[in-house]
Amino acid sequence: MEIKVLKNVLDRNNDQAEKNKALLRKHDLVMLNMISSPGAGKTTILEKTIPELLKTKNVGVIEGDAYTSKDAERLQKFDIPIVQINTEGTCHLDSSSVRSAFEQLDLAQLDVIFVENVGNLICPTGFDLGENIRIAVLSTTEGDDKPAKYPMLFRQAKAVVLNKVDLIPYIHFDKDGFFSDLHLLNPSVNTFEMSAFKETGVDEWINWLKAHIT
Amino acid sequence: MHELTVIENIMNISLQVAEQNNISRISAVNLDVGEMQHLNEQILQHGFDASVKDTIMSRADLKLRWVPVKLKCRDCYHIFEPQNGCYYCPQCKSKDTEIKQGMELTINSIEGE
Repeated sequence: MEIKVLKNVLDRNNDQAEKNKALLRKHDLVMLNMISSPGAGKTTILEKTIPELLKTKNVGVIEGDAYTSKDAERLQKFDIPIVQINTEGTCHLDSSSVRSAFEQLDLAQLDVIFVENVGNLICPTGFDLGENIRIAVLSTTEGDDKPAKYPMLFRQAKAVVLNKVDLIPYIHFDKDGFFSDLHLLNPSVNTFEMSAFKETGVDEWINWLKAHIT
Repeated sequence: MHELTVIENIMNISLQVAEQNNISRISAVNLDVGEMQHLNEQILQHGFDASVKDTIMSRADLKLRWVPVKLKCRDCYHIFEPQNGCYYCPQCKSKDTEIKQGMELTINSIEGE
């Protein structure tokens, strides 16, 4: 006997993501989901971004890591609310873990939440957290072929930050090819060239962010 | 390795549907998987076989149907498969396209007695 089911396997996650969205709307909050490989520079980007936003906004962070709280510790100097989620080896955050993190944050007091997802270009893309904006971060050392290899992430991202552009003279990275591939896949994507470490290209990114979290 | 989360959800849904329909043994789960989902078939199959042990779906086959990516042009409504990573409409060259299929992760049906 065959029984029709026609049910999305990720329904449970998607349902909770919708509830998260409603909660963010209620508190007039913008949540950004930052996805990249491990070591692409998400935490360094946040280290350069948060002090600028703190001049006018209240910022909170949800840190997703498979193990350890090293990234959260790097952001503690800003004296902002940070919730650490350790996924115990799981490769992505899901909407339920973000909902639990909300309970440790005073949402009414915040304007923006950055979610630093677990470092991975594939797994986090299938799990809607209820975020308003999805950001992909790629570092030049990972190679210029990534949009073609990971179309789901680069198609869904509202903005892509190309980090570590200061290293391009020392590696084989075809920047024009990278942006050309990216725009073929996602014509409306916003792009930023940055070296968070050297603090270049950060201003454009911050101006764009400010325009999206008013 | 989000395959393991996917398997856990497949099992939860299948077992629930079986209970509602008085199925005492599940013999197959038919799953539609969009090619955009980046799921690894081998990990899915191995993970599934390991996870279903000691349940009413312990002998179930996980049957996958891969669904290719198809886009629809919002300007001329042409439906097409992207070629060489290009998501522009090949007919009218519009950049305004939407993904019509290829994102699926759907249990189509279960089989059992």
